[in-house]
Amino acid sequence: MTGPGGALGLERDRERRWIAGVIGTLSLLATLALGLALSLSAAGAQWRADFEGILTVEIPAEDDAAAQAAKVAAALAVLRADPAIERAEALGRARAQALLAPWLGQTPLDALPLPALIDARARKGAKVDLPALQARLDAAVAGARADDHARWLAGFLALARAAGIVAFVVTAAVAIAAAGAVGFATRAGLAMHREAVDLLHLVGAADSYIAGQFARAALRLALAGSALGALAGAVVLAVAHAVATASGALAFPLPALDLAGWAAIGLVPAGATAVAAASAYATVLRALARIV
Amino acid sequence: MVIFERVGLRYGLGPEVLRDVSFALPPGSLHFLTGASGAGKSSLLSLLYLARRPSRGTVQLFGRDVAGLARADFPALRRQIGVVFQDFRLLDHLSVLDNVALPLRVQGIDDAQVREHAAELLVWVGLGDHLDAFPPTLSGGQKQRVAIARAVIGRPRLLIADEPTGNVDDRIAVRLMRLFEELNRLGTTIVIATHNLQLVRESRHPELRLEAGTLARAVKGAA
Repeated sequence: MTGPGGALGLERDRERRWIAGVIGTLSLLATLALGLALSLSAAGAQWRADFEGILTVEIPAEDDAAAQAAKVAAALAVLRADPAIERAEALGRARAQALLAPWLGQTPLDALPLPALIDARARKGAKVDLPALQARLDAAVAGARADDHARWLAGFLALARAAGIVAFVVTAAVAIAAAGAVGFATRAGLAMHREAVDLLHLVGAADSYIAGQFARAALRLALAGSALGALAGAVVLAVAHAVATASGALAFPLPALDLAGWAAIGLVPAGATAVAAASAYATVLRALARIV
Repeated sequence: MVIFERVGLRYGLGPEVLRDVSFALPPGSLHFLTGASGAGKSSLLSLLYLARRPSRGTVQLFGRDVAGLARADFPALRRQIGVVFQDFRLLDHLSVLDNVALPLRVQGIDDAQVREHAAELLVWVGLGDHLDAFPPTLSGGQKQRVAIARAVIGRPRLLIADEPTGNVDDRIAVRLMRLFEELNRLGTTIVIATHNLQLVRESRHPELRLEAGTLARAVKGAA
């Protein structure tokens, strides 16, 4: 061992400890951005799987229940005649009321005319030709509308992709800011330890040895700061998810992060530490190249 | 070993502090470098231990022209040079043993081997019971001996000492000179910068005398 803090004693510098706080804050931001993007991406994947092959047909509300039932029967006949559809079933009025409950509450709906809904499932591996099916429904049942949920799902998937891009941009910005902050602190450290650095040169140290001293010091500070920052971010993500799920505040269910998601969060401190060490190393090599 | 040919040195745009300095140090020689304060001794030493390049002229060390050296070549050459600085330049946050071990540690030599060698050297300079002490707790003479141990631990081919006896009493000064002569007998080329003319007169070794940046006298052994 070369004493506490290596040959230059960099770990003894109180002046450079602020870098751990900066890296910690940046890691917190990166963790939150990454966690949100991963959660939305997982939700998109889950919803795409859930709605794969599901088709809903809506028959407009009618005052005459018998007439609506006849339309439902005609629509079912069209659906069941389609070779790509495995099964089609009408949802009862009670089920329709249950689906509307989140928007209308427990208001008695018996007196209200409600649209009738048919739930259809495609055969595994088969693709329903929606325009052709809609044309056949139009011919058989006035006002019937088939929906494979692709339109709103596409919107949600676009949102998840956008969140992923935002997370990437935030993470990149955080990495650049971390590298800049470490570079600034390293230049200050070089100025502060100029005499010791000169001495190391004179006893035969290569630039890479001196750069390694600064990189190790930056690594230790960044590891401590980023681990705390990422841990705080993970706690915020977990608490926010639990609170939002329990309160029903989310318009759609957002899955909790799985093991792979948490592993990705775990890469935040590793990445921040690597960026800090690389920045310190490169900064020292650049600075030393300017002196004899 | 060392050849200076019409060497000039200036700092920035200032006047030359060394002018047309020429001499050669054969391998295994011991030279004194003398001169009044401001004569250019420290500047000349800084060229010898590769802290600077000359502004003009040629400096050759170990057969290589310093002007043609790439930055990456310097560490290997500096490892063949030991320096005892006038102000010691010990690192206060390192123990005596770690200070002495520094030249080997920067070469990545095995730590157990480094510690053993550094401890042996510290016993040799009479500081065997101060291995774990820190420089601020040492006297001037003790620091001087630590600096000497650090300078010789890498078995340098060229040893440069700047006023090595300037901070110690006569008894220690004699001991240090014997130490240098012992190293010289073992083959190390040595340059000792000093104000102590009595030391020079009592010695059989040649003197390089600087006056206002020029070499006023290069006597026996110096071409």
